[in-house]
Amino acid sequence: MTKQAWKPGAPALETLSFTVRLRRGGPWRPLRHRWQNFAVTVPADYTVVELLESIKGHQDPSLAFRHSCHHGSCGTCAMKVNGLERLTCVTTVADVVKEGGHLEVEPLGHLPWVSDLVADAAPLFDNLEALGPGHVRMNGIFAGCIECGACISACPIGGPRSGYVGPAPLAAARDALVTGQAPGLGWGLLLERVDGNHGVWQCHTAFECSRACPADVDPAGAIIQLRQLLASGQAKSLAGLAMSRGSAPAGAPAAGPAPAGGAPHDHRPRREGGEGW
Amino acid sequence: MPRVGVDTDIDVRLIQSTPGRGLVQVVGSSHLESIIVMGAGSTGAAIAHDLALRGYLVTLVERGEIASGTTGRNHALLHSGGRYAVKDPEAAQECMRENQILRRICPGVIEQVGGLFVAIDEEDEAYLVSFLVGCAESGIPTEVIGREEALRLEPELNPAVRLAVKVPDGVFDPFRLVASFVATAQANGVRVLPFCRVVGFVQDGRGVSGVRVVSDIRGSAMELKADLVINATGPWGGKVAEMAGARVPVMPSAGVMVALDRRLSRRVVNRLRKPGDGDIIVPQRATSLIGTTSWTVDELEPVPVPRDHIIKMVEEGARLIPAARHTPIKASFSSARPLISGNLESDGREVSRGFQIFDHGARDGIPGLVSVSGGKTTTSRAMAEHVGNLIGRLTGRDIPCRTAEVPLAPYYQYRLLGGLPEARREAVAP
Repeated sequence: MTKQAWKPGAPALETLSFTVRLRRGGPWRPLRHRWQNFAVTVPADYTVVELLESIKGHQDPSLAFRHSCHHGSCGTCAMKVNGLERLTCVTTVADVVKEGGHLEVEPLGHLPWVSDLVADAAPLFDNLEALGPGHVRMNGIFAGCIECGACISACPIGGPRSGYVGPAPLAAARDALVTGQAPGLGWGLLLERVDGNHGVWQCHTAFECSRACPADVDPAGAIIQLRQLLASGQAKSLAGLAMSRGSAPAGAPAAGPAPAGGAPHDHRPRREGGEGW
Repeated sequence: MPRVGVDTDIDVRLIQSTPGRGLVQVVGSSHLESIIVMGAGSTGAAIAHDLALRGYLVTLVERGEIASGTTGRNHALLHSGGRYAVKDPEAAQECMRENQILRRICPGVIEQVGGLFVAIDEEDEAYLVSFLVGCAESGIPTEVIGREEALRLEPELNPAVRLAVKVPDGVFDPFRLVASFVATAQANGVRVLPFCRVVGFVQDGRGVSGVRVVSDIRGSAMELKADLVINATGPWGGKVAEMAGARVPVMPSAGVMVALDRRLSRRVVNRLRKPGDGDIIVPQRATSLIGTTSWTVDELEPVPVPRDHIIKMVEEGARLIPAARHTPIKASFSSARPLISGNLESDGREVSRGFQIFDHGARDGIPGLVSVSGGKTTTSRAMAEHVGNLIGRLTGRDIPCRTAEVPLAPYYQYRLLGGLPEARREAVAP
């Protein structure tokens, strides 16, 4: 259900009354963790993040949670809602709660816990910086991965502490390879990490990352594609090609054979030359 | 200005922030006065960065995550100044100037896509001449293009388009722009404390010498002392200043934006007419943001999103790009601009268009507290420069502003836990 469901002339939208169960506490707090219940009555089209704002504003100002853009593009507000990773700014209360039912919100798993519903995305940023092609920019436009951490939380392998490079960073490495845009680490180390013990071969192909991803990046697909590229030796030649001609300009066609599933982000507008300003 | 004593809990002068990441650009070797900046939206983050570059010892406190208030929910428009070219040339010039500076210092958070002002009807067309004159007078480069060319550049434009004007609008990522300012500030020694609510001021008589905060990470109260405290809390500015007995006449003015679940255009699309409700579509990442409306609100958590505004946005947006009507809505949201109410006497030289700086020492007899409110994210760096200049006068120092030249650190170097000790950073939620 989204907010456009309501049309002029339609009856006023219902409100929902239910209990929200929130994970509270944190590693720096005297009381390490507990669940806390809040009774709420809110419009059914409230998003989960609006619900949290309303609890912070009217019931408990100490509630900590991350949020910023409220339209699914900044990636800060990913949390576990009823056990599943969601971007809480585009998830309405009606999507996840039935009248009189419960709604449970927890911080993302596998990432360092900060406080209440806040997990720290820093380890994800570090790996993306190392392996991604100029990070999230494609063709001069922000596209693809919004760096929310949902894939890492959903991945059964475990988070950065397990050593595993992780779904989003591997998808970024795939993007670097097929677009020829140099990753932060350089090509040699990229291949080493992607092909190493904690790279693509550690993945159990559970596809939880692709299920959780709110930006349709499909990290699992990227991991499978990387395995094919590595096994066939194409990954090395792609990296070698990119190295020999330097970093390709943004938007250059992918080198080598068309990767399975098409080039990443091919639904985005392509660069059509500089704007001149 | 004399330095103040040691804190009860944390001495902001003794604790260093994130170890430098090869980006240390601080002038001079010793720290100067200690300054607390409240609020890590675009204004507070830019101020912290500016003051750190000047060499002050800065602590930035924010009640939630950075950019979690007005800035995060803004329209993402890197103004060329075109929207103000006819009515407010001074604001237009400032936008154009800052537009160029931001493209230079943080290209990594800007989609440099350009913008169009499109004429749909006769009235729009009649506005062309005054628009072009306004842009020329404000130094905004323009190029008039015909219907065919406009439709070639943006195939989904309303086919009734008569002509369009190209301007150097852009799109920035609000969260990542603030993260860039904060990451740079952290690299330059600023202690950043997110999830840290200001609950009161430390006052000697009337003068402000620090803030009382509750950290929602530590779950404890702290007293932070400083020589100066800056209130950059946007629409919360009035309530925060009130705690010190000062007055900031800020009136939260909400605006609804609708995010469509597809990028309808490559460029920013504006209606070529006097600025009004719903006359602009900003393509941001994979969404298109239609905005906006304006009305005064009291409620900030959450800011209300009236349904009729959503419908109006979609209808107005569809006049520019008809597909807006059939594109699913990904989200609709409101943010509250910190509008300065009334025609107030402000503080002389530091007044600039759209924002005001209040030196509460001079205004209300409350030394040690400075408030800044209003403005827009595009001009946040300029606002910070004005605030920095005032701080220079208050501390009797003449240190030039360098923010127009110094490139910002990448946004992904921002560290949420930068202000906390290393221990316990590895714990995961149960």
